Amino acid sequence: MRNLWLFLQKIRHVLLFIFLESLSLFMLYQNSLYQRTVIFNFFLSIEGKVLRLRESIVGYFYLKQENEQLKKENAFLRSLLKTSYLISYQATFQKNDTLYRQRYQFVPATVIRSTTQYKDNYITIDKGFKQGIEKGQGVFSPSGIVGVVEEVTANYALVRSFLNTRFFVSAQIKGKPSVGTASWNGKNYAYGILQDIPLHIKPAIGDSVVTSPYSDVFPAGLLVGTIEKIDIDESNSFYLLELKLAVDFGNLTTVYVVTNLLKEEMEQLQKFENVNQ
Amino acid sequence: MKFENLTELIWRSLILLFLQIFVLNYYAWSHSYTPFPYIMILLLLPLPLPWYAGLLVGFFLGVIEDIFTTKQGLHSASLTLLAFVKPVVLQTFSRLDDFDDGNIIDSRSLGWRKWIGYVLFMTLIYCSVLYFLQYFSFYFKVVILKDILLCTAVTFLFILAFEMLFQILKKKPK
Repeated sequence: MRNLWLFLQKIRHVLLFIFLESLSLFMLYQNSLYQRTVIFNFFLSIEGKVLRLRESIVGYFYLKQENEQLKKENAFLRSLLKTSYLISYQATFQKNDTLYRQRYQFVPATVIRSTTQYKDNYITIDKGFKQGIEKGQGVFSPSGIVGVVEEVTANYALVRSFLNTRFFVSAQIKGKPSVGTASWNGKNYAYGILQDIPLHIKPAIGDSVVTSPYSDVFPAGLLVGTIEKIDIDESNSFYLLELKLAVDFGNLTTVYVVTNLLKEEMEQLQKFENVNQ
Repeated sequence: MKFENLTELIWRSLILLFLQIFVLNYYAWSHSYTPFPYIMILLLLPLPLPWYAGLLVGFFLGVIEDIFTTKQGLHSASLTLLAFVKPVVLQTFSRLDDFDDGNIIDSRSLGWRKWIGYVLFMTLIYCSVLYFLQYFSFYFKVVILKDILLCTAVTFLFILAFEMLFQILKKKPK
């Protein structure tokens, strides 16, 4: 205690200075708006940095919920895209006076199982008919198309993957007036093929291949892959294009199941066409 | 402290304070730089003094100036710091033993050369703290530096003028 007192006696000059200086700065802070604002902003910036650090640590524990929310939001936003709507002329539409009718809806899902090593590969997702999933609905990921729903249970669905010899989708070279059929070559899980592109179309290596508007399962413009190799088929009438698939089927997690709201209408018309032929 | 030193200190302080509060606070050289020769009161304070004297004089002198400039805390913070560093600065210009007789620290006791160095340095410290507290930022470095240098120059010139006047008045035969 005595030593403490002696120490304080030694630095009394400094203590008095600190006290008087603090008092002066306090008076300055109290009476001057500019200095008060500068001090306030300074401490606010420190607080901001500390809070951001805390957020980066705590936010990590909320990533799962955040992810689920983002998937739902994504699905909703995709359904608002113009490509999800069918433009109809006012003259044929009596009840609604809007130009756009919603054509596609999207349901987010998580891949719980996916195979790539077989001739006919399938993907299992965690959504079933309780969540509105039906047979024949298209499935795609943020990277590109994945497959078509083949079987549905209450809470799960089996999707015929692109990597399945029985999978075909109407596709076209982006920006070029041609429609062909995209499918899997049955060999490498990273490559597919695009057939039926006529020879007068000039494809180039690196061109994107997307779903065509003629697909009744997928919205137009979804990426299938990019042209990796150009060949001519056996009949010498069409190109046989090797595609580097956009989707990494070995690393698939989040997908969207697309519902074509007008598919039933189109199928009814198709039946009528088949009956009359 | 001797009686004659005390009376000289008091009348010099009163004159300086009067001039600062009623005249110089309303004058600004180039419409921007107010001279602050009142800090001379602190610079004149003799050594040795009670340990609290310098700091308290500096603080209350600053408070008086703050009252008349409506900038509470600005001058008191600057003068308190000046009072704190005064012994250290004096040591660089002279030996502290030289002031044991209790004389006020003016050009006569210190010599003109040392006195000019001492006053100039202290004025620079005062103006630096003053302008830093006013701007409260290092963002406008060039502007602040210019203001500090010009304020120092103007204040020093006034202090020099007053010191020369006081010395002439002291030498005048009675």
